[in-house]
Amino acid sequence: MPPEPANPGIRLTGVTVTREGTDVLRDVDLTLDEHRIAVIGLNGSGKSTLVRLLNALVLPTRGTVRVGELTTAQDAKRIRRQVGFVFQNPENQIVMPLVAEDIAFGVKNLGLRGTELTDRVDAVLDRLGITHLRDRESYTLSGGEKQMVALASVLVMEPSTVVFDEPTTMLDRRNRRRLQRTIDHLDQRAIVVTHDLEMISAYERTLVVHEGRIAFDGEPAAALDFYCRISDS
Amino acid sequence: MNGSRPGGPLAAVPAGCKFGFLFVASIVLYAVPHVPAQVAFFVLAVTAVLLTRTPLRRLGRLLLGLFLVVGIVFATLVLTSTWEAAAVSALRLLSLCLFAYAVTLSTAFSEMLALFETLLRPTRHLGLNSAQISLALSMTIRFIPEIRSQYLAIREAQFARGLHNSPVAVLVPLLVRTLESAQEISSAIDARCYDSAPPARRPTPPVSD
Repeated sequence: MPPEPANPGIRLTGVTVTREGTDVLRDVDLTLDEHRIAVIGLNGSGKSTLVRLLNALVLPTRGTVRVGELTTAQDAKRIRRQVGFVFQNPENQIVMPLVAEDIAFGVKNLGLRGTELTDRVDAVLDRLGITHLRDRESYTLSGGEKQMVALASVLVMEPSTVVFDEPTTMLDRRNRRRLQRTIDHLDQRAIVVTHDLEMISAYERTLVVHEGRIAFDGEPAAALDFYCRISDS
Repeated sequence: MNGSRPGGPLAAVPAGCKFGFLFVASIVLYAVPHVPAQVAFFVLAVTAVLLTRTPLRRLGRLLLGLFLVVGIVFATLVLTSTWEAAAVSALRLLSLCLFAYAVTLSTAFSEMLALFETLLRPTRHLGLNSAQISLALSMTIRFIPEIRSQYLAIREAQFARGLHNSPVAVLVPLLVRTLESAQEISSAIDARCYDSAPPARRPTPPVSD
């Protein structure tokens, strides 16, 4: 198997997603190469569907989604190694009873075992400053701790891109700021779906999704103006 | 279930050996009907529990109910048969439960899962996937507290609406929420590269055109 490129671009070509006869997304053409990309839009606009296309959680009804040379329709597992996904509700993302076991779950699926696995789990816990949570039972964690564990469980797989689907929705202000700082310091490309407009002010690119289309694509300030107009209309 | 990493000398013993010992001990305990031997087993079981180095307060909480139940069993048996028979039965039950506690308190959940996965491996000949069964088991344990807290939240909301004794008003939303969560959890597992396909029973020969 040839090595994957370090940070491959993501390209959507003519993508339409149809559910129960309705187009949730229509004719989306995008190339995502920037380091920090925000996706905003009203509820039900198609934001989550758009980002779920990026790691093959949703497959296009028409068109193709490519990550580097791979297509989601054919190479889902290899793409998921490259594109990590942090869900809105971390409770649904944490599947193991203990924190360390949960973080190890994804890398075990990639075939890692023994000290290599333990070292990788310990390294990601240390990097996020949550080593003290290592042996805690998942259900005893606070909302902020759960979100950090969910992020650790994605970062441990060393993806080149991390997609965040409304990661701050269930967090208080302090944990929101903490998660925001963590995202800002990630080496990986981050694609963040959010309603937290303050969070994305320094991002390189902002997409506004409206009624299943990319209605605006550009700088955050102009995107926010556009978003406010469609919100108020 | 132990919430933190197990400590003490028993933690170093492989899970398979501990569960094997528990299996053999349960047979021996029922094969020996003498009080002195049962007392010796009981002392051994207490020592095993103490070797897990579980804080005494936590042990007290864990064992209180057990001693209460065994006390009732003992009193009933004393009234219906001889005190020797009652003592043997009570000591037998206590020793067995204490050995089981010693095993679970000294074994990490991941070790238990790995053991179950190994034990279930022969079931692949019946078309079962031991890794999937093991994952289902761990997720059951993971999500029981979540479902309980959802149940309590829904019940509180229904109380606030004046629905005090309506199981349907609690169970229907609980079922809907659980199914919604299940869908999202399934996506989360997929996103973390879990291969849900059952293992191939034998290599597929190459197809020639």
